[in-house]
Amino acid sequence: MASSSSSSSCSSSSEKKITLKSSDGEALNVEKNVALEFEPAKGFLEDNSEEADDEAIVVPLPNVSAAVLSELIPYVKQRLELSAKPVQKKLIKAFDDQFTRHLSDDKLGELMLAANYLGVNYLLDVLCDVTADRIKNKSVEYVREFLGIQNDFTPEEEAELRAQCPWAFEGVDQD
Amino acid sequence: MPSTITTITNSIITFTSSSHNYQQSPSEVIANLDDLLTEILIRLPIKSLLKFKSVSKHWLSLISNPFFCRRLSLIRKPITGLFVDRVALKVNNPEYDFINLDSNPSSPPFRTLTFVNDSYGIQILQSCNGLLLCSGGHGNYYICNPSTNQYRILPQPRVGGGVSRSILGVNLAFDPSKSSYYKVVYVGACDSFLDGQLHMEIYSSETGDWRSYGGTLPAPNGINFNTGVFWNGAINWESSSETSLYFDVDQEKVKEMPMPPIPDGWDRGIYQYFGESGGHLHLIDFYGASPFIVYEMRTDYSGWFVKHHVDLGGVTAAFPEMIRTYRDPQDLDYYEYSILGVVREENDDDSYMLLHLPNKVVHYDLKDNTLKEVLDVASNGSQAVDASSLQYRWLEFERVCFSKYKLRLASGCYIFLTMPPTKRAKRNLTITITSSSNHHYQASASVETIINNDDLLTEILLCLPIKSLLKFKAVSKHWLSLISNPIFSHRLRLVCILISGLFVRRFTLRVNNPEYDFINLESNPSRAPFKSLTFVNDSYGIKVLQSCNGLLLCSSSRAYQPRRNYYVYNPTNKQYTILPRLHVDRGIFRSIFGVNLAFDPSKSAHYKVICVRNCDSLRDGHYQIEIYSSKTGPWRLSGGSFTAPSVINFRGGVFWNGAIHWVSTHGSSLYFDVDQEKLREMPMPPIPDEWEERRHQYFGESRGHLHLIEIYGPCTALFNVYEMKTDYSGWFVKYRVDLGGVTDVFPEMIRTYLDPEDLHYYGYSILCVVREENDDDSYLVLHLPKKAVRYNLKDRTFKKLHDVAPAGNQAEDESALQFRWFDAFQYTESLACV
Repeated sequence: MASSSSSSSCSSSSEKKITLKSSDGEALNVEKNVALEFEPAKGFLEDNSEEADDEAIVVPLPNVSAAVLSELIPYVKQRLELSAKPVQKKLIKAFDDQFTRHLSDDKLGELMLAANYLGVNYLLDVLCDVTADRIKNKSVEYVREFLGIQNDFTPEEEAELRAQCPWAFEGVDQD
Repeated sequence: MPSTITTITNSIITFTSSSHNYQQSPSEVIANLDDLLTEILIRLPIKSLLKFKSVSKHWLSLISNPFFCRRLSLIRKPITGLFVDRVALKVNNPEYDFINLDSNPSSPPFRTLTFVNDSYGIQILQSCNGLLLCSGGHGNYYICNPSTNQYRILPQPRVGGGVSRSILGVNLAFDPSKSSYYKVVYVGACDSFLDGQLHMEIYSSETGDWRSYGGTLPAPNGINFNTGVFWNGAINWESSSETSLYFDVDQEKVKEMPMPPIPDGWDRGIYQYFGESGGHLHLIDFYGASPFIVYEMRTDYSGWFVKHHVDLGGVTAAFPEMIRTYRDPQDLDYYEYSILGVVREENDDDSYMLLHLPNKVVHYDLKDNTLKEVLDVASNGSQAVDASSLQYRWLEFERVCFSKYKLRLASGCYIFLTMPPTKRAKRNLTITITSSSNHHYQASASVETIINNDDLLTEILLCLPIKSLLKFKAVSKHWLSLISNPIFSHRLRLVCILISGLFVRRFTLRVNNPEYDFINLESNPSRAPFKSLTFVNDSYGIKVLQSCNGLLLCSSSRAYQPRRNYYVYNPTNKQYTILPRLHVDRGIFRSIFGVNLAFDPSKSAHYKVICVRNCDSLRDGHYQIEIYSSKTGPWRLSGGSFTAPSVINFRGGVFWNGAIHWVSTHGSSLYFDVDQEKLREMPMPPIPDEWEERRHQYFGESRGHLHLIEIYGPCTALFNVYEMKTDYSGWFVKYRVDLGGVTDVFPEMIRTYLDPEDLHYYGYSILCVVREENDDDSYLVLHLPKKAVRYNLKDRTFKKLHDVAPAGNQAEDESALQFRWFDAFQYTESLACV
């Protein structure tokens, strides 16, 4: 489930702190094992491994805002703790559910972009599941609005598509 | 969720690195990141994907992308629902109920399959991982994806060397997680099915063609090839015996599969369910209405283990209407239910069975035995839903579905068994149909409905004479296809054969090709189908040897035996076939004494030709039979040699009751059972004391009756018509005939120059005994000088049918006759293929 780097690198460097610099210029101190969960940070740290003092390293993350990072960091931290123990999948799922349940659609999108950019695949999995869940029984119109998509079909084209499998358009949830 | 996410970090990110004032909302950014969007889409149910194709062109292209489909196929989607075959009495196209198993309700994707216009209706044979294998008319098979309405018509399986083999089963193998191609496995019986030899053909959607499985293979008894289940990369078949077979589709190998032990006291295994779910093969036994065992097969085929013991006690308590109180509780049918499906869930605690009880379908939890109703089943007239069912689940786009189900493949005739054959209709155009039933539909609106309903139309067409059918082929392309359909002609054969006339051979000295008069016996006059036979250019001319249920056996007319060709000809549709030449052994041609045709269209579309030859050119009176079968091909010897009286008339064989009959003027008469290939003696009526030889005046068949007329005098105008008992125990007098009235009206038949006791005093011959449905209408066709007369056997009335022109080439006696019974051949219209 979690990527292999999480379990291997946590023990030796768990105490050390790394500074992450967000797109809006804020610096956030995180444990090195948390920072290693972020692909760009991991690459940056490997490139600069000759530096003696990790504390001095500032990893720029120009695509993620401080607000998003400050939500991501506690999640990743707790998730690492959970996966370090021989816990049941159910516990992880409950934790993921709790984390995502109250996310607004906008926040969900921001987190997904961040997880995508940072390569946190287990989070991306969860967020994709949640997004899919939120739209699966919705109307086409709702989905267009949800993702800001322009309808580029002519009315005839759209009607033809709908006529191919009318049953698929039944049972739509209220928006 | 498994780690399906690959590196998405490489995706094109549309906003720039330093600035954070991007205008798009995060959702809009996501919507433009194909990789990310794909990750979301892949998690959606198929139904939503179908719906969201209409979100935008971009989404349409993403969802339609083959790579997307491929990825989608790797994800197990739960079963969406079950198609259940309804037993419909009236409709051609089977109807399917849909049991929705998805939390999000929707109406069924279809009630009947109409993705292609098949006038015989489309039936589901099997559901396999999203695809349906279906059958239609004309031996057509289809693969269809009910989610997308995509389909493919499979080419016809090859049936090797023009030999038709009976179909035992057709099965689909499709595993989208391994390959996007599917295979179809056809199992047929070999020619010699008595030995249990099987023949297999494999269709691959990759090559688009059928291929024969190497050679034939023996099969243990009791295997049900109809209900193959795809599991573990193989088509698996259940069997009532202790071993069954499975076909490894990749290796293309047939292997043995054990079956569960058969309990003491039972002579065979009885199973009520066989199907796959969630990668598990299930089998449910049925040795008592309840409890029963749900078996599961080990993946290495080492055997079945007991997965669940099921006791339906709780179900019967909750639904007492399923108890057939009028039956013994030990009776297998004491409880009325059927198992529609065993559904395995990701969490085995949630696995369940779908049970069909009277008027409902219930969900039975296999873990905690709880029940819930899922569907009310509308009763279908007097009948409940068929026990067979189809599980239906959404998968991906070229595919959908998966199933258990029972197949009734029986030659495709099922379609027609649904309507009583007495349907009558009146059309304002040219068809008028009369019937014993008094119903008729008159409104012109209903005429149009009938004409548009292939079922009804077929029923109407079946009531028509063959002549009309030939004519109505020109009505439209649709009618042409209906009438030309082999299933239609098969059904037509089951309708009683009616004689429509007699061909009588004219005796001529000069011409090679004999000429035939045609005596029309129908009320509706029509032209002779032919005057002489010219369907093929035979320099010796062609003569008719025998007529048998619509087919004529013909041969070269005046050729020396070794050069003689034999033909089977259908004068109605003008089809003919040239039989292979008879064998010549070591350069010596053994004489032919008689060639006879055996054709019973109500039993088989194939005919046999029986040839009686000298068994050794040096020994007279020793015979040998050779048989040609239109089904299996060349001439072959049948049985050993036999002796028979030299006067037996092997040329005048009559086919009746599955045998060819030959009469002899003295000594024993014989018949040859064509199916058993056994020669037997036929009893004959006693010969009057003062006679040494029989005087056959007629020997022939009509409407399933074998008739014999022997006339000895003293008055030849008085005679008996004998009929043979079906068990060959002897002849009985069916009719007593007195031609006194005929001689009064046609005095020219009396040869006044002869003694009244002379056997030739009355100049007539009997051409045919014709039996009618109502025996009061049965009649004789008599040949009197210059005419043919129809003589009613019951009320002794008669009327002239036909003028017979004198032979003309000789100044002959006024009372001369041209024909005798062996010159007359019945003409019955037939669409039989030769």
